[in-house]
Amino acid sequence: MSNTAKRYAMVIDLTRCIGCHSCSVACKAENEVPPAVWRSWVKVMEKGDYPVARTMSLPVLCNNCEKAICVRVCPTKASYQRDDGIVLIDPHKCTGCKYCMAACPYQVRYLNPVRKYAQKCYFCSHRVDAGLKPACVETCPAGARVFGDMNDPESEVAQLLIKLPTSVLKPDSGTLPSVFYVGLDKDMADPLKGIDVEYSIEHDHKVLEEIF
Amino acid sequence: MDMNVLYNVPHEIPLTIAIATYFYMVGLHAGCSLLSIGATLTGKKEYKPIAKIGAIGVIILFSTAPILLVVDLGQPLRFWYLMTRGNSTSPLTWGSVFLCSYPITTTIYIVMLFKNNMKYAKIFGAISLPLAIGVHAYTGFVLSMGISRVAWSTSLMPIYFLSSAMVSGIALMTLIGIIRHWTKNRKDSWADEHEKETDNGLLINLTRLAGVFMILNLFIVFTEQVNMRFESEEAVEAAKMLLTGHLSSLYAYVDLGLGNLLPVLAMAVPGVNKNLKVWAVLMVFALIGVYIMRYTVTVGGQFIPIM
Repeated sequence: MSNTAKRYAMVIDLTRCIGCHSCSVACKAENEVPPAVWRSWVKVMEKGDYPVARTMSLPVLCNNCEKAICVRVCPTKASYQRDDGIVLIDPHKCTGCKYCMAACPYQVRYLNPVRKYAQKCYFCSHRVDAGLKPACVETCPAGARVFGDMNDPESEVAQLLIKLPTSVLKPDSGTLPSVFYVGLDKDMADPLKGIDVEYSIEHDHKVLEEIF
Repeated sequence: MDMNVLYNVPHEIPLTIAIATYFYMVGLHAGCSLLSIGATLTGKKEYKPIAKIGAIGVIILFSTAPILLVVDLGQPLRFWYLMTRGNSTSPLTWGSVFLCSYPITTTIYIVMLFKNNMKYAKIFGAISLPLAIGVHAYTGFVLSMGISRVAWSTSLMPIYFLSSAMVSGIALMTLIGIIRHWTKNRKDSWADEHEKETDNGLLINLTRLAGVFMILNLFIVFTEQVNMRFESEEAVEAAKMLLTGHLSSLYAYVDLGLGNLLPVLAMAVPGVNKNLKVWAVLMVFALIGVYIMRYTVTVGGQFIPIM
């Protein structure tokens, strides 16, 4: 089925990702993300016992979903979606009610601790509009991130989506994410794997109380 | 197989205790309002004190509850955007519509009630009734549409919120009614013995009505717990957290045990089920229980990691 409308997407090849966190740093620098909050980060997990063990990295960012739940629940239409699929937040309309943060299945939104309105990854729309790649894509030393128009058959993203088996995070939430992963380990995508839930609840509380 | 998360980032809990308290206060006044309007619409003279107590409860609670909502906003001075920049798919916009229209009709209802103009009190009561349901049911939709949280995302949430709102509203009004009854006893200001008996019977009826909604609450929790045990891994963890885990001391023991099960059991014990002193204590338990429920479901529902 062909669709000619522009639709931005990102493919992250986890078999190439080296877990260097340079994408997180580039994002922070490019978008002036305040301390204690992240638009893009890398979840790191170890699996197995020595000598059969490995570490895995999962770069996480806003999925700029086709059916974005944050856009649907925003009471002031501050969250909106461009025709090219990028989900943006109008800082002048946001009331900071945090409902989008509560509804997002990927926990990629945060309330700016200083300006007190919601923010998230916009695929660096200011760079994209200027014909550049998002900062995280530009800086990735392993070339694990590929960004482009998934409806353009000539684009690298579209070709990767055809050639390689890809998966998305939480496909059952029905949000149709625009970030696709190659080589995604099911345990890595499971938020309850690798943590003690009871300990996590108590520990996260203490950390959050210190930060916020 | 051994698995450990070495690095991830902590996330702010978006809906805080202020929102849980707001949900509680909205439920409390919705319960008071529904009971007051119900008493007025039945037209029975003996229900009039209940209608008036409920109306006063509505005024106090409704004028204070939205303060919590505004204070919790990151941009409190933009609170009016919620009314002027509506989004038809957002339950918060539905709530804003109810929060704006409900006080208008309810104020007229209350004025008519206290002026003893029962014809108009009934008309505006009937108009306020669906708005009173909506003003609290929307809070249930706020949670049920939060698809990311397994403890929230259930179609039963609006009914659960309404049912527990009725419990808290009836509990508050019964408690005030019992205090009023004792005060009149002490001052010996009853017109006759019949009036005293009627008032006593009315309070017992209210406790029975609360009992019906408590049974409904317990049934909803039972069905939710059973369903969640057969859903995703996150749902199982959320069900365990509420019933046997981190929040069980609050949710299972205080809300379900003291706030719902104990009053239902008391209803079945002859002698106890008509003792106003016992019911005064049980209604306090019910009020605390519903608050605990609001906290554990709203804030606790965000404790299960989702990323």
